Amino acid sequence: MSPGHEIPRTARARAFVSFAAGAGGRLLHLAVLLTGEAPGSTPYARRLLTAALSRTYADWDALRGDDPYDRTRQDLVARYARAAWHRRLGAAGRTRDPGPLGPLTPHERIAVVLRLYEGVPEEQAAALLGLPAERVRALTARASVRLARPPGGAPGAPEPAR
Amino acid sequence: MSGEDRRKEHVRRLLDTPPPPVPQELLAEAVRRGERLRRLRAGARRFLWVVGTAVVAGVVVWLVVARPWAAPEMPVTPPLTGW
Repeated sequence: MSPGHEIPRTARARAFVSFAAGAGGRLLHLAVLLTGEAPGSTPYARRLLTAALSRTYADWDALRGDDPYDRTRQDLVARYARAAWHRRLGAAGRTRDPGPLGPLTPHERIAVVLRLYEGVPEEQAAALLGLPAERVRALTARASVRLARPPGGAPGAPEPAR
Repeated sequence: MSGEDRRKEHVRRLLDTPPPPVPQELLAEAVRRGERLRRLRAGARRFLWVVGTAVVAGVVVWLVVARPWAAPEMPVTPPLTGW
């Protein structure tokens, strides 16, 4: 390990690192899906995950039985949603993100990732997004349709046989 | 399987790729920033405690010295009438 990346050897740091090393891969994947970055270069997703994990670290002693994975995921999604809300005015005319959820809006990405990738119950995803549960169901359904028929395919074209 | 279920299954397969490895420096950076956040919070808490204690002590001292519930001393003797 290079000298700049030393991790302190406290019990808290050890417990946190063993959690983060195990769950980090899945959380980073989740972040990359949200940001829509190409797999090779994911600076924004890494920034989101670093921020969410540092928050989990700071709250580590006060988790009191809360799942650190759920906490981190919630913080990560909330940060992404907040940033997306602030960027919404600049979104028009933006080039399409290269990731698999590239064609979707931020809300659709969150709904898809929470419901279909993480399997979070509808009510919980709705609470995280601050939307009614029916709206989350509609977002997920619409997003699935858009992903099944990528732009370029003629409208009404058969779904890709997979 | 309905069309919607099939589409959801398709999206699930689309998303279920092996997760990337977490860079060690990301973890180290998270611990560093988390530690700083903890110290900041502890500092803020200590500061609030100090300020709170000082305010309470100040009020107690003032109460003891000034005795604001006692009737104020009259600057002049009341006129003596009707004796």
